[in-house]
Amino acid sequence: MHILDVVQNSVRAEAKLVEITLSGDQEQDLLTLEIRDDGKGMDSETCARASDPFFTTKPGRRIGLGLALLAQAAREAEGDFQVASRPEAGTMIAASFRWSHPDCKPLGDITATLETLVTAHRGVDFVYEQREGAEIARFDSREVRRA
Amino acid sequence: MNLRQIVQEVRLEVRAGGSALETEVQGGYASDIISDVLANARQGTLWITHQRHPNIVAAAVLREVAAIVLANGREPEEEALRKAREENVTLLVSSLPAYELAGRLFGLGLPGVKK
Amino acid sequence: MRFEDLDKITDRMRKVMSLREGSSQAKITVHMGTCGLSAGARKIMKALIQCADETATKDVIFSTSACAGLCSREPMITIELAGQAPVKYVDLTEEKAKRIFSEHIVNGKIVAEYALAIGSEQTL
Repeated sequence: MHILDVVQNSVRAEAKLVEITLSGDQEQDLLTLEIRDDGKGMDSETCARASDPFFTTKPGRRIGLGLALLAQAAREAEGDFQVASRPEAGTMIAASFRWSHPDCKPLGDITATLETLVTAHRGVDFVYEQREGAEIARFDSREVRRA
Repeated sequence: MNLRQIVQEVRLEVRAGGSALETEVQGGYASDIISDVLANARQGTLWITHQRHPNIVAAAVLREVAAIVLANGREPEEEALRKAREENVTLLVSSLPAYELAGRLFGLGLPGVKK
Repeated sequence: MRFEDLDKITDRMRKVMSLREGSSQAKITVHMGTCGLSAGARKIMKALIQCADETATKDVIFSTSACAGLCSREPMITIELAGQAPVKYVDLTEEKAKRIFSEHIVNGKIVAEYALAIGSEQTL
C-alpha cells in the first residue's frame, strides 16, 4: 500500500522514471525500501515538512497521510525514515525496518503493485529491484519498451 | 448519547477539545491501524485506540470523528496533543483497557459504527 | 522475499503498450489516495483490470487519481467514455465494480444507483 501511495506523489511531481528498491539483509536484520523519482523535486522547506500529516502540496487539501504512515511504519519497526529532494532533481524516499521486529509488517504483493503501476501510468517507466544477499531480481519497464 | 455523558459515565479525562462535549456520538470503533480507521470510521465516531502519535489527529480530522479515546492510561505524544488543540479535535484518555472500555460503552447503549 | 513473477509484469506491460495513444474509447480512473487505498482501491483496480482482460471489446485505459476529499465514499472510480461526461462511482465493492464495467463500459449504460455525479470535464 505504501508503495502505491508514495508513487502517486512521484507521478504528481511529473516523474518519468520511478525506481523502487527493496533490499533485505538478514545479518543486519534490516529491510530497506527506497523509492526514487526524477520529478520536480521539493525545496528544502517543503522537503522538511513532507512527512508531516498536516502538510500536503495537493491543492485544496490540508492533510497528506501517505508519507506520514510510511514513516510511522518504519518507526514502529525501529527503523528509519528519510526524504531527500532538490528542485528539478527528483526525490528519494527511504524507509528501513528491523526485519525481525514483531511490528514489522509483512511485505505485500509486489507483483500486483507493479502491475497496477505499469497499467495505470503508461507514460512512466518503472524499475524494480529486489535484493536479498547475493540474489537480485529486477524489472525495468524501459527494457520492455525497447524490445 | 453525547460526549459529556460518555465522559461522565466511564470517567474519561479530557486532554483537548473540552468545549465540544455536546457533540452527539453516532457509534464506537476500536482500532489501532490508521488505514483501517480511514476506511471504517465515520463522522461522529468515538474512536478507541492505543496510538499516541500525531497521525491519529490527522485521521480524526479526515474522518470527522467525534473524539479519540486513548485506552489503558496512555497519554498522547506532545506533538499529537498540540495538534489536537490546534485542530479542535477532542482527545480523551481512559484508564481502562480497550476491551473493557468498549464493553462498558456498548453496555451503556453506544452501538458500533454503522457501515 | 518472494518475487517470481517478472514475466507477468512484462506481459501486462506489453498489453498496456499495445493500446494505441489517443484511441481509447474508455478511461477508468481509480482513486488511489491514502483513503482510497485504505478502503480497498487495489482490489477494485485488480477486478477492473481482470474485466478488461476478459472482454476485449474496447480499448480501455486505466489511470489513478489522488485524494478527492470524499474519504467517506471510498473506494471510488470515475468512468469516462469517449465523447461523454465522466461519471463518478462511490462506495464500491469488487462486485459493484464488475457490474459497472459490464453495464457502463461494455454496454454504455450508466449504473445510476452507484453513481455520485456526472462531471463536466472531459479528457477523451
